[in-house]
Amino acid sequence: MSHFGDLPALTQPDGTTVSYRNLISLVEKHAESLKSEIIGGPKRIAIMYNHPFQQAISILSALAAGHQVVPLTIHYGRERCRFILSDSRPEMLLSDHDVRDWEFTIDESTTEVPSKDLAFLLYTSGTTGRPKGVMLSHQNIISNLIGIESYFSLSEQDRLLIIRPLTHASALTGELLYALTQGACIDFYSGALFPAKIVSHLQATSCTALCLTPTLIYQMMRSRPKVKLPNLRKIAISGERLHSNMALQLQNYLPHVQFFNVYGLTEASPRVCYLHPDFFVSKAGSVGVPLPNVEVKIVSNSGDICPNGVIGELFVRGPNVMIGYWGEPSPRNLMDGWLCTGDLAYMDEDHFIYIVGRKDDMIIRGGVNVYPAEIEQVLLTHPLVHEVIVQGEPDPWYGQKICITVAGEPGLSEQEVAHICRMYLEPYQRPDRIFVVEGGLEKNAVGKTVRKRITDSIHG
Amino acid sequence: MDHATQTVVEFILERFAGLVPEEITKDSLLKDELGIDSLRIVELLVGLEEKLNITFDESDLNPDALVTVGDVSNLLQKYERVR
Repeated sequence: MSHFGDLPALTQPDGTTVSYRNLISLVEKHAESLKSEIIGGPKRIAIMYNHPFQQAISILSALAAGHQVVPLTIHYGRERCRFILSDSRPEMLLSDHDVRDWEFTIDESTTEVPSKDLAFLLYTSGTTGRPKGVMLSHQNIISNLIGIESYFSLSEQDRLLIIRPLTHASALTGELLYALTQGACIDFYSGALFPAKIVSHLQATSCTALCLTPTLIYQMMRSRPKVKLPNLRKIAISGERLHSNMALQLQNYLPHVQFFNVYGLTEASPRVCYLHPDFFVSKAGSVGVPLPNVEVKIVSNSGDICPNGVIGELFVRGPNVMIGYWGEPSPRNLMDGWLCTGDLAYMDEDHFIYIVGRKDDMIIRGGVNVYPAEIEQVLLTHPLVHEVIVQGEPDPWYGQKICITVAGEPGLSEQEVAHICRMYLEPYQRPDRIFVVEGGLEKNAVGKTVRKRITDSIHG
Repeated sequence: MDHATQTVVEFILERFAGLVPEEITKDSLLKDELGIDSLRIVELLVGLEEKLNITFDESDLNPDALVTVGDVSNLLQKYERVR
Protein backbone atom coordinates (compact mmCIF):
# COMPACT_ATOMS: atom_id res chain seq x y z
CA MET A 1 0.00 0.00 0.00
CA SER A 2 2.92 2.38 0.58
CA HIS A 3 3.28 3.18 -3.12
CA PHE A 4 -0.17 4.81 -3.06
CA GLY A 5 1.36 7.61 -0.99
CA ASP A 6 -0.96 10.57 -0.57
CA LEU A 7 -3.93 9.06 -2.37
CA PRO A 8 -7.07 8.98 -0.20
CA ALA A 9 -7.55 5.61 1.48
CA LEU A 10 -10.32 5.58 4.08
CA THR A 11 -13.06 8.03 4.97
CA GLN A 12 -13.34 8.93 8.62
CA PRO A 13 -16.61 9.46 10.54
CA ASP A 14 -16.32 13.24 10.06
CA GLY A 15 -16.14 12.81 6.28
CA THR A 16 -12.45 13.64 5.86
CA THR A 17 -10.14 11.08 4.35
CA VAL A 18 -6.96 9.48 5.57
CA SER A 19 -4.27 9.05 2.94
CA TYR A 20 -2.57 5.73 2.34
CA ARG A 21 0.61 7.17 3.85
CA ASN A 22 -1.20 8.19 7.02
CA LEU A 23 -3.21 4.98 7.09
CA ILE A 24 -0.03 2.95 7.14
CA SER A 25 1.37 5.10 9.97
CA LEU A 26 -1.85 4.74 11.94
CA VAL A 27 -1.94 0.99 11.47
CA GLU A 28 1.73 0.58 12.37
CA LYS A 29 1.26 2.65 15.49
CA HIS A 30 -1.73 0.58 16.63
CA ALA A 31 0.06 -2.64 15.72
CA GLU A 32 3.04 -1.67 17.90
CA SER A 33 0.68 -0.93 20.74
CA LEU A 34 -0.92 -4.37 20.35
CA LYS A 35 2.48 -6.05 20.26
CA SER A 36 3.42 -4.44 23.53
CA GLU A 37 0.13 -5.37 25.17
CA ILE A 38 0.02 -8.96 23.98
CA ILE A 39 3.19 -10.92 24.50
CA GLY A 40 3.95 -14.12 22.68
CA GLY A 41 2.74 -15.66 19.43
CA PRO A 42 -0.41 -14.96 17.43
CA LYS A 43 -3.51 -14.37 19.50
CA ARG A 44 -7.19 -14.01 18.70
CA ILE A 45 -8.52 -10.48 18.96
CA ALA A 46 -12.24 -9.77 18.82
CA ILE A 47 -13.06 -6.39 17.29
CA MET A 48 -16.38 -4.58 17.58
CA TYR A 49 -16.53 -0.87 16.84
CA ASN A 50 -19.56 1.18 16.05
CA HIS A 51 -18.14 2.98 13.03
CA PRO A 52 -16.60 0.90 10.25
CA PHE A 53 -13.60 3.24 10.04
CA GLN A 54 -12.48 2.29 13.56
CA GLN A 55 -13.35 -1.32 12.82
CA ALA A 56 -11.18 -1.25 9.70
CA ILE A 57 -8.19 0.36 11.47
CA SER A 58 -8.34 -2.18 14.28
CA ILE A 59 -8.63 -5.11 11.89
CA LEU A 60 -5.66 -3.94 9.84
CA SER A 61 -3.62 -3.25 12.97
CA ALA A 62 -4.35 -6.65 14.47
CA LEU A 63 -3.33 -8.36 11.23
CA ALA A 64 -0.19 -6.23 11.01
CA ALA A 65 0.71 -7.28 14.55
CA GLY A 66 0.42 -10.91 13.50
CA HIS A 67 -2.82 -11.71 15.32
CA GLN A 68 -6.06 -13.37 14.25
CA VAL A 69 -9.20 -11.31 13.96
CA VAL A 70 -12.70 -12.16 15.15
CA PRO A 71 -14.89 -9.36 13.77
CA LEU A 72 -18.15 -8.62 15.55
CA THR A 73 -20.92 -6.10 15.15
CA ILE A 74 -23.41 -4.87 17.74
CA HIS A 75 -26.09 -5.56 15.12
CA TYR A 76 -25.66 -9.27 15.77
CA GLY A 77 -27.45 -8.72 19.04
CA ARG A 78 -26.16 -9.38 22.48
CA GLU A 79 -26.79 -13.12 22.60
CA ARG A 80 -25.05 -13.87 19.31
CA CYS A 81 -22.09 -11.69 20.32
CA ARG A 82 -21.85 -13.42 23.67
CA PHE A 83 -21.94 -16.80 21.96
CA ILE A 84 -19.18 -15.83 19.55
CA LEU A 85 -17.00 -14.43 22.31
CA SER A 86 -17.49 -17.52 24.46
CA ASP A 87 -16.84 -19.84 21.54
CA SER A 88 -13.86 -18.09 19.99
CA ARG A 89 -12.22 -17.32 23.34
CA PRO A 90 -10.28 -14.26 22.19
CA GLU A 91 -7.46 -12.96 24.30
CA MET A 92 -8.60 -9.39 23.82
CA LEU A 93 -11.73 -7.50 22.84
CA LEU A 94 -11.30 -4.12 21.15
CA SER A 95 -14.57 -2.23 21.28
CA ASP A 96 -16.21 1.12 21.89
CA HIS A 97 -19.32 -0.56 23.27
CA ASP A 98 -19.87 -1.01 26.97
CA VAL A 99 -20.01 -4.77 27.39
CA ARG A 100 -19.31 -4.96 31.11
CA ASP A 101 -22.73 -6.41 31.85
CA TRP A 102 -22.57 -9.03 29.10
CA GLU A 103 -21.35 -11.72 31.50
CA PHE A 104 -18.67 -13.42 29.49
CA THR A 105 -14.99 -13.95 30.24
CA ILE A 106 -12.01 -13.42 28.02
CA ASP A 107 -9.59 -16.32 28.10
CA GLU A 108 -6.25 -14.77 28.95
CA SER A 109 -4.36 -18.03 29.01
CA THR A 110 -2.26 -19.12 26.07
CA THR A 111 -4.40 -21.08 23.65
CA GLU A 112 -2.94 -23.10 20.85
CA VAL A 113 -3.99 -21.80 17.46
CA PRO A 114 -4.70 -24.49 14.86
CA SER A 115 -2.75 -22.70 12.15
CA LYS A 116 -0.16 -19.94 12.28
CA ASP A 117 -1.52 -18.77 8.95
CA LEU A 118 -4.96 -18.11 10.47
CA ALA A 119 -6.08 -14.56 9.68
CA PHE A 120 -9.80 -14.44 10.41
CA LEU A 121 -12.38 -16.28 12.39
CA LEU A 122 -15.65 -15.25 10.71
CA TYR A 123 -18.86 -16.49 12.24
CA THR A 124 -21.54 -17.69 9.94
CA SER A 125 -24.68 -19.57 10.79
CA GLY A 126 -24.48 -23.25 9.97
CA THR A 127 -27.39 -25.38 8.81
CA THR A 128 -28.92 -25.36 12.27
CA GLY A 129 -28.61 -21.62 12.71
CA ARG A 130 -25.97 -21.95 15.44
CA PRO A 131 -23.01 -19.70 14.51
CA LYS A 132 -19.87 -21.49 13.38
CA GLY A 133 -16.42 -19.90 13.21
CA VAL A 134 -14.98 -20.17 9.72
CA MET A 135 -11.19 -20.22 9.83
CA LEU A 136 -9.69 -18.30 6.93
CA SER A 137 -5.96 -18.16 6.39
CA HIS A 138 -3.89 -15.37 4.93
CA GLN A 139 -3.42 -17.56 1.87
CA ASN A 140 -7.19 -18.00 1.54
CA ILE A 141 -7.68 -14.24 1.54
CA ILE A 142 -4.78 -13.41 -0.77
CA SER A 143 -5.88 -15.98 -3.33
CA ASN A 144 -9.40 -14.55 -3.29
CA LEU A 145 -8.09 -11.00 -3.73
CA ILE A 146 -6.20 -12.18 -6.80
CA GLY A 147 -9.35 -13.83 -8.11
CA ILE A 148 -11.50 -10.73 -7.54
CA GLU A 149 -8.98 -8.52 -9.34
CA SER A 150 -9.45 -10.68 -12.43
CA TYR A 151 -12.95 -9.27 -12.93
CA PHE A 152 -13.77 -6.29 -10.72
CA SER A 153 -10.65 -4.25 -11.53
CA LEU A 154 -10.88 -1.26 -9.24
CA SER A 155 -8.16 1.37 -9.56
CA GLU A 156 -6.78 4.46 -7.85
CA GLN A 157 -9.51 6.48 -9.58
CA ASP A 158 -12.25 4.56 -7.85
CA ARG A 159 -14.18 5.43 -4.73
CA LEU A 160 -15.90 2.40 -3.22
CA LEU A 161 -18.86 2.74 -0.88
CA ILE A 162 -19.02 -0.02 1.73
CA ILE A 163 -22.51 -0.51 3.14
CA ARG A 164 -22.31 -3.89 4.82
CA PRO A 165 -20.64 -4.49 8.17
CA LEU A 166 -17.03 -5.63 8.13
CA THR A 167 -18.10 -8.93 9.69
CA HIS A 168 -19.28 -10.12 6.28
CA ALA A 169 -16.59 -11.93 4.31
CA SER A 170 -17.89 -10.15 1.24
CA ALA A 171 -17.34 -6.70 2.77
CA LEU A 172 -14.05 -7.66 4.40
CA THR A 173 -12.30 -9.42 1.53
CA GLY A 174 -14.30 -8.38 -1.51
CA GLU A 175 -14.54 -4.73 -0.62
CA LEU A 176 -12.21 -3.40 2.11
CA LEU A 177 -9.09 -5.48 1.55
CA TYR A 178 -9.53 -5.65 -2.20
CA ALA A 179 -9.97 -1.88 -2.57
CA LEU A 180 -6.89 -1.23 -0.43
CA THR A 181 -4.78 -3.44 -2.69
CA GLN A 182 -5.88 -1.32 -5.65
CA GLY A 183 -5.30 2.12 -4.14
CA ALA A 184 -8.98 2.97 -4.29
CA CYS A 185 -10.61 5.31 -1.78
CA ILE A 186 -13.06 3.66 0.60
CA ASP A 187 -16.14 5.43 1.88
CA PHE A 188 -18.25 3.90 4.62
CA TYR A 189 -22.02 4.21 4.84
CA SER A 190 -23.08 3.75 8.44
CA GLY A 191 -26.58 5.24 8.46
CA ALA A 192 -29.97 3.58 8.32
CA LEU A 193 -30.49 1.43 5.23
CA PHE A 194 -33.09 3.67 3.63
CA PRO A 195 -32.54 3.47 -0.11
CA ALA A 196 -33.14 7.20 -0.52
CA LYS A 197 -30.34 7.96 1.94
CA ILE A 198 -27.95 5.63 0.18
CA VAL A 199 -28.73 7.29 -3.13
CA SER A 200 -28.11 10.72 -1.59
CA HIS A 201 -24.85 9.51 -0.13
CA LEU A 202 -23.76 8.22 -3.51
CA GLN A 203 -24.63 11.52 -5.12
CA ALA A 204 -22.87 13.58 -2.45
CA THR A 205 -19.68 11.52 -2.42
CA SER A 206 -19.39 10.69 -6.13
CA CYS A 207 -18.68 7.05 -5.38
CA THR A 208 -17.82 4.99 -8.43
CA ALA A 209 -18.45 1.48 -7.10
CA LEU A 210 -20.44 -0.39 -4.50
CA CYS A 211 -21.56 -3.87 -3.54
CA LEU A 212 -25.06 -4.59 -2.31
CA THR A 213 -27.87 -7.10 -2.19
CA PRO A 214 -30.59 -7.34 -4.84
CA THR A 215 -33.12 -6.23 -2.22
CA LEU A 216 -31.34 -2.96 -1.63
CA ILE A 217 -30.82 -2.06 -5.26
CA TYR A 218 -34.48 -2.89 -6.00
CA GLN A 219 -35.55 -0.60 -3.20
CA MET A 220 -33.29 2.13 -4.55
CA MET A 221 -34.85 1.65 -7.97
CA ARG A 222 -38.39 1.81 -6.59
CA SER A 223 -37.75 4.69 -4.22
CA ARG A 224 -35.67 6.85 -6.52
CA PRO A 225 -36.52 5.67 -10.05
CA LYS A 226 -35.27 8.78 -11.81
CA VAL A 227 -31.96 9.21 -10.02
CA LYS A 228 -28.86 10.05 -11.98
CA LEU A 229 -25.62 8.69 -10.59
CA PRO A 230 -23.20 9.65 -13.36
CA ASN A 231 -20.07 8.82 -11.36
CA LEU A 232 -21.16 5.30 -10.53
CA ARG A 233 -19.51 2.79 -12.83
CA LYS A 234 -19.55 -0.62 -11.12
CA ILE A 235 -22.03 -2.47 -8.92
CA ALA A 236 -21.46 -5.98 -7.58
CA ILE A 237 -24.66 -7.72 -6.53
CA SER A 238 -24.45 -10.53 -3.99
CA GLY A 239 -25.93 -12.02 -0.84
CA GLU A 240 -29.10 -13.47 -2.28
CA ARG A 241 -30.56 -14.72 -5.52
CA LEU A 242 -31.00 -12.18 -8.30
CA HIS A 243 -34.20 -13.02 -10.11
CA SER A 244 -33.68 -13.10 -13.84
CA ASN A 245 -36.55 -10.71 -14.60
CA MET A 246 -34.83 -8.05 -12.51
CA ALA A 247 -31.61 -7.87 -14.49
CA LEU A 248 -33.03 -5.90 -17.40
CA GLN A 249 -34.85 -3.53 -15.06
CA LEU A 250 -31.64 -2.82 -13.17
CA GLN A 251 -29.65 -2.27 -16.33
CA ASN A 252 -32.29 0.14 -17.61
CA TYR A 253 -32.29 1.91 -14.25
CA LEU A 254 -28.57 2.63 -14.42
CA PRO A 255 -27.62 2.01 -18.05
CA HIS A 256 -24.07 3.36 -17.71
CA VAL A 257 -23.19 1.02 -14.82
CA GLN A 258 -21.45 -2.32 -15.15
CA PHE A 259 -23.40 -4.84 -13.09
CA PHE A 260 -21.66 -7.92 -11.76
CA ASN A 261 -23.74 -10.70 -10.23
CA VAL A 262 -21.40 -12.53 -7.89
CA TYR A 263 -21.65 -15.61 -5.72
CA GLY A 264 -19.72 -16.83 -2.78
CA LEU A 265 -19.83 -18.07 0.77
CA THR A 266 -17.85 -17.31 3.89
CA GLU A 267 -16.26 -20.74 3.75
CA ALA A 268 -14.72 -19.77 0.37
CA SER A 269 -13.26 -16.42 1.51
CA PRO A 270 -15.87 -15.69 -0.01
CA ARG A 271 -15.88 -15.25 -3.78
CA VAL A 272 -16.49 -18.27 -5.99
CA CYS A 273 -18.16 -17.09 -9.21
CA TYR A 274 -18.89 -13.89 -11.08
CA LEU A 275 -21.06 -12.92 -14.02
CA HIS A 276 -19.36 -10.45 -16.33
CA PRO A 277 -21.45 -7.32 -17.12
CA ASP A 278 -21.55 -8.30 -20.79
CA PHE A 279 -23.79 -11.21 -19.77
CA PHE A 280 -25.78 -9.51 -17.00
CA VAL A 281 -28.91 -9.38 -19.16
CA SER A 282 -28.31 -12.17 -21.68
CA LYS A 283 -27.52 -14.67 -18.92
CA ALA A 284 -29.85 -13.00 -16.43
CA GLY A 285 -29.97 -14.74 -13.07
CA SER A 286 -26.73 -16.63 -13.61
CA VAL A 287 -23.83 -16.24 -11.20
CA GLY A 288 -21.48 -16.74 -14.12
CA VAL A 289 -18.26 -18.67 -14.08
CA PRO A 290 -15.73 -19.50 -11.39
CA LEU A 291 -12.82 -17.22 -10.60
CA PRO A 292 -9.68 -18.21 -12.52
CA ASN A 293 -8.10 -19.87 -9.46
CA VAL A 294 -11.26 -21.67 -8.35
CA GLU A 295 -12.76 -24.97 -9.52
CA VAL A 296 -16.43 -25.89 -9.29
CA LYS A 297 -18.46 -28.98 -10.04
CA ILE A 298 -22.11 -29.86 -9.72
CA VAL A 299 -22.69 -33.18 -8.06
CA SER A 300 -25.78 -35.38 -7.84
CA ASN A 301 -26.94 -37.15 -4.70
CA SER A 302 -25.18 -40.27 -5.91
CA GLY A 303 -21.88 -38.42 -6.22
CA ASP A 304 -21.78 -38.19 -10.01
CA ILE A 305 -21.05 -35.03 -11.95
CA CYS A 306 -24.32 -33.64 -13.27
CA PRO A 307 -24.69 -33.07 -17.00
CA ASN A 308 -25.50 -29.55 -18.20
CA GLY A 309 -28.96 -28.48 -17.24
CA VAL A 310 -29.28 -30.96 -14.39
CA ILE A 311 -29.51 -29.66 -10.83
CA GLY A 312 -27.09 -30.88 -8.21
CA GLU A 313 -25.07 -29.54 -5.30
CA LEU A 314 -22.33 -27.02 -6.07
CA PHE A 315 -18.87 -28.06 -4.89
CA VAL A 316 -15.91 -25.66 -4.78
CA ARG A 317 -12.18 -26.28 -4.64
CA GLY A 318 -9.29 -23.84 -4.59
CA PRO A 319 -6.85 -21.89 -2.43
CA ASN A 320 -9.81 -19.82 -1.22
CA VAL A 321 -11.47 -22.71 0.62
CA MET A 322 -11.33 -22.42 4.41
CA ILE A 323 -9.01 -24.26 6.78
CA GLY A 324 -12.10 -25.60 8.58
CA TYR A 325 -14.51 -24.55 11.31
CA TRP A 326 -13.30 -23.46 14.72
CA GLY A 327 -13.40 -26.49 16.93
CA GLU A 328 -14.15 -28.69 13.88
CA PRO A 329 -11.11 -28.64 11.64
CA SER A 330 -12.32 -31.64 9.59
CA PRO A 331 -15.92 -30.72 8.86
CA ARG A 332 -18.26 -33.00 6.96
CA ASN A 333 -18.74 -30.46 4.19
CA LEU A 334 -15.03 -30.47 3.27
CA MET A 335 -13.95 -33.63 1.41
CA ASP A 336 -10.63 -34.02 -0.41
CA GLY A 337 -10.32 -30.27 -0.72
CA TRP A 338 -13.83 -29.91 -2.11
CA LEU A 339 -16.21 -27.67 -0.20
CA CYS A 340 -19.81 -28.84 -0.37
CA THR A 341 -21.68 -25.54 -0.46
CA GLY A 342 -25.19 -26.80 0.22
CA ASP A 343 -26.36 -24.69 -2.71
CA LEU A 344 -28.28 -26.36 -5.51
CA ALA A 345 -27.24 -25.29 -9.00
CA TYR A 346 -27.03 -26.25 -12.63
CA MET A 347 -24.68 -25.37 -15.44
CA ASP A 348 -25.95 -24.36 -18.86
CA GLU A 349 -24.45 -25.33 -22.20
CA ASP A 350 -22.06 -22.37 -22.02
CA HIS A 351 -20.90 -23.44 -18.54
CA PHE A 352 -22.62 -20.56 -16.81
CA ILE A 353 -23.84 -21.47 -13.34
CA TYR A 354 -27.32 -20.83 -11.99
CA ILE A 355 -28.09 -21.15 -8.28
CA VAL A 356 -31.62 -22.48 -7.75
CA GLY A 357 -31.90 -22.94 -4.00
CA ARG A 358 -30.53 -24.61 -0.93
CA LYS A 359 -30.04 -28.27 -0.21
CA ASP A 360 -31.06 -27.62 3.37
CA ASP A 361 -34.08 -25.49 4.10
CA MET A 362 -32.28 -22.24 4.85
CA ILE A 363 -34.18 -19.16 3.67
CA ILE A 364 -32.42 -16.02 2.48
CA ARG A 365 -34.72 -13.03 2.95
CA GLY A 366 -33.31 -9.68 1.95
CA GLY A 367 -29.78 -11.04 2.28
CA VAL A 368 -30.40 -12.35 5.79
CA ASN A 369 -30.10 -16.10 6.50
CA VAL A 370 -33.15 -17.51 8.25
CA TYR A 371 -33.24 -21.05 9.60
CA PRO A 372 -36.61 -22.79 9.59
CA ALA A 373 -35.50 -25.22 12.27
CA GLU A 374 -34.82 -22.38 14.70
CA ILE A 375 -38.23 -20.82 14.13
CA GLU A 376 -40.04 -24.16 14.30
CA GLN A 377 -38.30 -25.03 17.54
CA VAL A 378 -39.34 -21.77 19.16
CA LEU A 379 -42.95 -21.91 18.01
CA LEU A 380 -43.39 -25.51 19.10
CA THR A 381 -42.69 -24.51 22.68
CA HIS A 382 -45.99 -22.62 22.68
CA PRO A 383 -48.93 -24.70 23.97
CA LEU A 384 -51.25 -23.52 21.18
CA VAL A 385 -48.92 -24.75 18.42
CA HIS A 386 -48.85 -28.49 17.72
CA GLU A 387 -47.06 -28.63 14.37
CA VAL A 388 -45.31 -26.05 12.26
CA ILE A 389 -43.43 -25.93 9.00
CA VAL A 390 -41.40 -22.90 7.94
CA GLN A 391 -40.55 -22.50 4.27
CA GLY A 392 -39.20 -19.95 1.86
CA GLU A 393 -41.29 -18.62 -1.01
CA PRO A 394 -39.69 -17.00 -4.04
CA ASP A 395 -40.04 -13.24 -4.03
CA PRO A 396 -38.76 -10.93 -6.74
CA TRP A 397 -37.81 -8.18 -4.31
CA TYR A 398 -36.42 -10.12 -1.35
CA GLY A 399 -35.19 -13.29 -2.94
CA GLN A 400 -37.39 -15.28 -0.60
CA LYS A 401 -40.09 -14.53 1.91
CA ILE A 402 -40.85 -16.53 5.07
CA CYS A 403 -44.01 -18.60 5.02
CA ILE A 404 -45.21 -20.64 8.00
CA THR A 405 -47.91 -23.28 8.12
CA VAL A 406 -49.27 -24.17 11.53
CA ALA A 407 -51.57 -26.77 12.98
CA GLY A 408 -52.61 -26.22 16.56
CA GLU A 409 -55.38 -25.98 19.09
CA PRO A 410 -58.88 -25.94 17.57
CA GLY A 411 -59.83 -22.43 16.63
CA LEU A 412 -56.24 -21.18 16.44
CA SER A 413 -56.25 -18.12 14.20
CA GLU A 414 -53.71 -16.53 11.91
CA GLN A 415 -53.74 -13.48 14.16
CA GLU A 416 -52.94 -15.53 17.23
CA VAL A 417 -50.05 -17.16 15.40
CA ALA A 418 -48.79 -13.73 14.32
CA HIS A 419 -48.98 -12.58 17.92
CA ILE A 420 -46.98 -15.63 19.06
CA CYS A 421 -44.38 -14.88 16.39
CA ARG A 422 -44.06 -11.29 17.54
CA MET A 423 -43.66 -12.39 21.13
CA TYR A 424 -41.11 -15.14 20.64
CA LEU A 425 -39.22 -14.61 17.41
CA GLU A 426 -36.49 -12.16 16.48
CA PRO A 427 -37.71 -9.50 14.02
CA TYR A 428 -35.79 -11.01 11.10
CA GLN A 429 -37.49 -14.39 11.74
CA ARG A 430 -41.05 -13.13 11.63
CA PRO A 431 -43.11 -14.57 8.78
CA ASP A 432 -44.42 -12.78 5.75
CA ARG A 433 -47.28 -15.25 5.31
CA ILE A 434 -49.09 -17.42 7.82
CA PHE A 435 -51.37 -20.36 7.12
CA VAL A 436 -53.29 -22.25 9.77
CA VAL A 437 -54.57 -25.71 8.93
CA GLU A 438 -57.08 -27.87 10.71
CA GLY A 439 -56.38 -31.45 11.64
CA GLY A 440 -52.62 -31.54 11.30
CA LEU A 441 -49.95 -31.28 8.63
CA GLU A 442 -49.62 -33.93 5.93
CA LYS A 443 -47.20 -36.78 6.67
CA ASN A 444 -45.36 -39.35 4.61
CA ALA A 445 -45.35 -43.11 5.19
CA VAL A 446 -42.96 -42.89 8.11
CA GLY A 447 -44.76 -40.05 9.78
CA LYS A 448 -42.49 -37.22 8.67
CA THR A 449 -44.06 -33.93 7.67
CA VAL A 450 -43.68 -33.47 3.96
CA ARG A 451 -42.45 -29.97 3.24
CA LYS A 452 -42.93 -29.95 -0.51
CA ARG A 453 -46.44 -31.30 -0.38
CA ILE A 454 -47.36 -28.72 2.23
CA THR A 455 -46.25 -26.02 -0.19
CA ASP A 456 -48.17 -27.48 -3.09
CA SER A 457 -51.39 -28.18 -1.26
CA ILE A 458 -51.69 -25.02 0.75
CA HIS A 459 -50.28 -22.42 -1.50
CA GLY A 460 -51.22 -23.79 -4.90
CA MET B 1 -59.03 7.76 12.61
CA ASP B 2 -57.63 10.40 10.24
CA HIS B 3 -57.07 9.68 6.58
CA ALA B 4 -53.29 9.41 6.79
CA THR B 5 -53.43 6.92 9.68
CA GLN B 6 -56.12 4.93 7.86
CA THR B 7 -53.86 4.75 4.82
CA VAL B 8 -50.92 3.54 6.85
CA VAL B 9 -53.03 0.96 8.69
CA GLU B 10 -54.50 -0.39 5.45
CA PHE B 11 -51.06 -0.65 3.93
CA ILE B 12 -49.68 -2.50 6.94
CA LEU B 13 -52.60 -4.95 6.87
CA GLU B 14 -52.03 -5.52 3.18
CA ARG B 15 -48.31 -6.14 3.43
CA PHE B 16 -47.61 -7.78 6.78
CA ALA B 17 -49.02 -11.10 7.88
CA GLY B 18 -51.35 -11.88 10.71
CA LEU B 19 -52.42 -8.42 11.85
CA VAL B 20 -56.02 -7.31 12.36
CA PRO B 21 -57.36 -3.75 12.21
CA GLU B 22 -58.40 -3.81 15.86
CA GLU B 23 -54.83 -4.21 17.07
CA ILE B 24 -53.37 -1.30 15.12
CA THR B 25 -53.71 2.20 16.53
CA LYS B 26 -51.82 5.40 16.09
CA ASP B 27 -49.83 4.54 19.21
CA SER B 28 -48.90 1.01 18.11
CA LEU B 29 -45.16 0.44 18.22
CA LEU B 30 -43.98 -0.59 14.79
CA LYS B 31 -41.23 -2.97 15.89
CA ASP B 32 -42.17 -4.20 19.33
CA GLU B 33 -45.92 -4.60 18.80
CA LEU B 34 -46.39 -5.04 15.07
CA GLY B 35 -43.12 -6.83 14.26
CA ILE B 36 -42.13 -4.26 11.66
CA ASP B 37 -38.37 -4.24 12.04
CA SER B 38 -35.87 -1.96 10.32
CA LEU B 39 -35.91 -3.97 7.07
CA ARG B 40 -39.70 -3.94 6.98
CA ILE B 41 -39.90 -0.24 7.82
CA VAL B 42 -37.93 0.41 4.65
CA GLU B 43 -40.37 -1.80 2.76
CA LEU B 44 -43.27 0.12 4.32
CA LEU B 45 -41.91 3.51 3.30
CA VAL B 46 -40.84 2.47 -0.19
CA GLY B 47 -44.27 0.88 -0.65
CA LEU B 48 -46.07 4.02 0.54
CA GLU B 49 -44.01 6.15 -1.85
CA GLU B 50 -45.02 3.90 -4.75
CA LYS B 51 -48.67 3.58 -3.78
CA LEU B 52 -49.20 7.30 -3.13
CA ASN B 53 -46.80 8.62 -5.75
CA ILE B 54 -44.84 10.70 -3.27
CA THR B 55 -41.12 10.98 -2.54
CA PHE B 56 -40.01 11.26 1.05
CA ASP B 57 -37.17 13.67 1.60
CA GLU B 58 -34.23 11.84 3.08
CA SER B 59 -34.18 14.22 6.04
CA ASP B 60 -37.50 12.66 7.05
CA LEU B 61 -36.11 9.13 6.88
CA ASN B 62 -34.89 8.84 10.43
CA PRO B 63 -35.52 5.41 11.96
CA ASP B 64 -35.29 6.85 15.46
CA ALA B 65 -38.21 9.13 14.66
CA LEU B 66 -40.39 6.38 13.14
CA VAL B 67 -41.36 4.37 16.17
CA THR B 68 -45.16 4.29 16.05
CA VAL B 69 -47.84 4.09 13.43
CA GLY B 70 -48.59 7.71 14.29
CA ASP B 71 -45.06 8.76 13.39
CA VAL B 72 -45.53 7.31 9.90
CA SER B 73 -49.00 8.84 9.48
CA ASN B 74 -47.69 12.26 10.61
CA LEU B 75 -44.99 11.95 7.98
CA LEU B 76 -47.61 11.08 5.39
CA GLN B 77 -49.77 14.04 6.40
CA LYS B 78 -46.83 16.36 5.87
CA TYR B 79 -46.54 15.18 2.27
CA GLU B 80 -50.25 15.14 1.64
CA ARG B 81 -50.44 18.77 2.72
CA VAL B 82 -47.69 19.66 0.25
CA ARG B 83 -49.45 17.94 -2.66
